[in-house]
Amino acid sequence: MKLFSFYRVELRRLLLSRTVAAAAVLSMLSLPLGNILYDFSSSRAMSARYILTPVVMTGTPIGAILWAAVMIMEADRLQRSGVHILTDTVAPPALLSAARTLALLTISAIVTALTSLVYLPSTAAKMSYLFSAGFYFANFAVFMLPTWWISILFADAFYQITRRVELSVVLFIALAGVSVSGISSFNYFMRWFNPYVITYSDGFPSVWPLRIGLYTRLIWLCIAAGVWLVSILCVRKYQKGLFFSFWKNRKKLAVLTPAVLSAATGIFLWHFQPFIDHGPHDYKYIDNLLMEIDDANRISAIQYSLSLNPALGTISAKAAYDIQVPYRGEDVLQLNPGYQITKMTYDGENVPFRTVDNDINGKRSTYFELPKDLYNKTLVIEYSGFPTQGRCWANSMVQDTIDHDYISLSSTAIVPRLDNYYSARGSAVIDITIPDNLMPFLDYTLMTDFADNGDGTKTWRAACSEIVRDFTAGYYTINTFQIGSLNVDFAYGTAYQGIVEENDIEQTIIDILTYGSEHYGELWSAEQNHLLLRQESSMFGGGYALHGVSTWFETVLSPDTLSDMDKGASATEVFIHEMLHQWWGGLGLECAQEDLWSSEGLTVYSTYRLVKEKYGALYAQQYYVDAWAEAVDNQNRSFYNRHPEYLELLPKVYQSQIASANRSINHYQRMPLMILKAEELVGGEDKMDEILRRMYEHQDEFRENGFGFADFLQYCGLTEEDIDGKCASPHNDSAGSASF
Amino acid sequence: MKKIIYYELRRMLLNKTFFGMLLVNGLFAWFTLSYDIIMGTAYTAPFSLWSYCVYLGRTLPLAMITVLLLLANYYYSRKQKQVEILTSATPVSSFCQIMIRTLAAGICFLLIYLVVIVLALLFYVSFFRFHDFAAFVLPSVVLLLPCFVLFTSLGQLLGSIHRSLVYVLMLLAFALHSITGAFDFFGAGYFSTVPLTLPIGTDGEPAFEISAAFLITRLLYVVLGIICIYLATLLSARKSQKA
Ligand SMILES: [Zn+2]
Repeated sequence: MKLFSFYRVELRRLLLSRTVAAAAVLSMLSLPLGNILYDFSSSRAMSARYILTPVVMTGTPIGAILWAAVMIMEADRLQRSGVHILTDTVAPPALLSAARTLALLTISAIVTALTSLVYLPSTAAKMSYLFSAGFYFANFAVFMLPTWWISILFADAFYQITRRVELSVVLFIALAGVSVSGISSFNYFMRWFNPYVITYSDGFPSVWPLRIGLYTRLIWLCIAAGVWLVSILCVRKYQKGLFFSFWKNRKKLAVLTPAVLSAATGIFLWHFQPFIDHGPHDYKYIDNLLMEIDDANRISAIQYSLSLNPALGTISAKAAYDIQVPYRGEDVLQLNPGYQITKMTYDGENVPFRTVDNDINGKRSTYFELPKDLYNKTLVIEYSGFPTQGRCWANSMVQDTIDHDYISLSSTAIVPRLDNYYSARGSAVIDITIPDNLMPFLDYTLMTDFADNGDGTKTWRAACSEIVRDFTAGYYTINTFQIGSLNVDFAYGTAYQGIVEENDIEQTIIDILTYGSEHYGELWSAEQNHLLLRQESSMFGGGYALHGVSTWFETVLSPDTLSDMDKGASATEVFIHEMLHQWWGGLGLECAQEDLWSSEGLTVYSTYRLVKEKYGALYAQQYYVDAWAEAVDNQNRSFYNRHPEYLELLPKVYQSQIASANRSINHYQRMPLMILKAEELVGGEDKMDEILRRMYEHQDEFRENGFGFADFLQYCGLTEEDIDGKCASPHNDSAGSASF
Repeated sequence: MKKIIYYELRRMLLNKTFFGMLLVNGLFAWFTLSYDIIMGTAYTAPFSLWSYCVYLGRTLPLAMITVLLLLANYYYSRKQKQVEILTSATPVSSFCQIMIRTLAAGICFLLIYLVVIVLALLFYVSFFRFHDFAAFVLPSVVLLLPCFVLFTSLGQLLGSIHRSLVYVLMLLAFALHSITGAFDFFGAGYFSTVPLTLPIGTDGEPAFEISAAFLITRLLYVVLGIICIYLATLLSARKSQKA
């Protein structure tokens, strides 16, 4: 094999090359840059901070640039030195060029492996018990290496076609520009160069980002390989032009077949991707409540049975409906666009159906018609497939996903939706088979009834309504306890068990719920004496509350959050802060984001009050009131506060940089101090609690516009001057960041 | 003599390493200005002497590493060894040789600080419309000169003992970049902590002053540097005698 011997020579040469060494060192060193340069406002999962940002968001694109540069330089090297006249006679230039590229691909693989090993100890140490070696290495293998390869192949192809360094650089920049431009900001498939992953979760690890990451890398590898194979035909012979060389190389036209095949595979994979549906980019509000359902079209019983296959991420399921009177005319059902209906029978007879690609909000319609005179028979629908994510919420990545460690499915990704029938509540039974170590919740209720299948799976059974809104299963640990008449299920990721035990979180929850309901009122989500407090994967990007359920953001329990001294003096106190957001913030009284005012003021103040009750006045004075006063003092002394006129002179970017630093102190320290002052003026703690209770009671009035500082003053019957509402930053810029 | 100086300067300045490092120094300086100095040091204005001195202090370690990197070339390349045989044949005393090297390093250092200081002035003028730079001269000299003398002479002394010691010195520059108190080589630690302890003047900022202790240690550094140069001369004189 001539190619192989050339390859060995080139590999040895490149391994000793200084350019290659420099690129290797620089791409290794680039990894920590991400956490310095990007500005992350809210707290993030540890795996986002220590794996996603360095490996995927920083090392991958920076390395891609470096390797492309090395490739172009190396391809140009022979040309520049004029050696090619000599070597061309010894070795066919096309073969030599291919050998060189293959050698560089090999070296980039070695560098990927080295990089992953170099950062292994420090990453494992920082993430401690949240570290998973498999997930760590998978990120290098799925994102970094293939992206570097794509980059090298494109760079070489551009050089072989144009034979000019500056032209190939321009072409490369243009192609990279497509990937980083705004058009492709949320498009997984266009981002060949800077793969998109919203964030990772520590407690509920999802492989969906890796699945789509690998798939998109494969698409671009196919395309790049196709272009590169064609470019081999353009390798110049005997110092001749492009077309002459192409003509001379025509004997190698055999290369064209794999080239076209490869590029076509890439385009085929892109077109038939199974991850995102074909729906619109925005959620569409559909007013279908006006549909009149004939009273006769009743379903008497439903039996759902689902079997989930986490290895492939697929479902295979059966829904059986006992229909009393079939709907007259063409009937419709909605299902996740990724699912195929494999069989549909009514009374044992096949029913013809057609599925139409009209995806909307993650649903696809299938039309069918039942024999209209056949009463009281069973409609059986069998379906299976890999759930797609609705395009409108595709960037959350875990809306509908079946993974080994985490399962999250919503509405039509669980069972079909038949809008033309109605059923009595509780007439449906669902069986779901999942891996036996996952803890399932159906419609935000813990499932309790299961049968162990003895093959590593369990089948869970529950009664449900005709429409199932949510199914979530993950590594959850559930602590159940009672506060008065309220039954609380406290569900948190098993990965956080250590933290929960260390910080006595269960007792703290009891304290918070007792304190909150005594002082401000019952959580509105606590319904019928039952409350599920569930930790939610950080990939959802926020917590939410429903009747009987309150979810909270995963990172509330993350070590990074619990060490945030702005929120409390110890991890337990930070947790108190985060849980008090159940009253103050999006889950309770919605607060407006203003320069001074936000939900943080009330939350920090309430934390102080609870801590004062728990640990004593002296402690609370030292770690809260004195600490606030010091921070506010320092802010008052700061240059831009004394000379706001200089702030106006600064370029906009720097103004907002300073304003956001100021805003954090305004929210976390200045406002709590002002509320304390207000407490004094309204007549003490009890009076203030009364006001807070009234505010919380009227939360519905502020759903839309948020409860602002002016509203607070009105409730207290005070003016801004009374409590010295001097704002440190007169700038009102819109870049308000949500913090949890 | 002139020829040698000319040769040394060309060797040190006209190469990719110097231009690359000059660029890195400039980028780092602008990063420091726009992320750090812009907030003002110890509640003073970004264009106060305190902030300016902290800025110089923050940029000094990298500048010193650059100078050492260029000096390290002397003790590294085989080519240089051949040149040394050549130059030692011409009648130039080892003292002169060291002075020429120091001069070349000094010009590198000046060029770097030309860029670094011009960036700061541009920053002050364009961001704050501040023009009053006369007071900046003296602190710049107090801060930069002892640091340069100490590091280049120490670098040459260590380099003539063993070339890897120059790299150890670079690591040391990295490690010592943020000590506080009067012994702070680079000054960033000193100038960012001292104003916090001083009484606040009428304009809300402490008046600029450099303590006697700090000045004396600066002077000591210069003396130490001169001693190092002397030792280096002795050492290389003995070496050339051996040769
Ligand atoms: Zn908060």
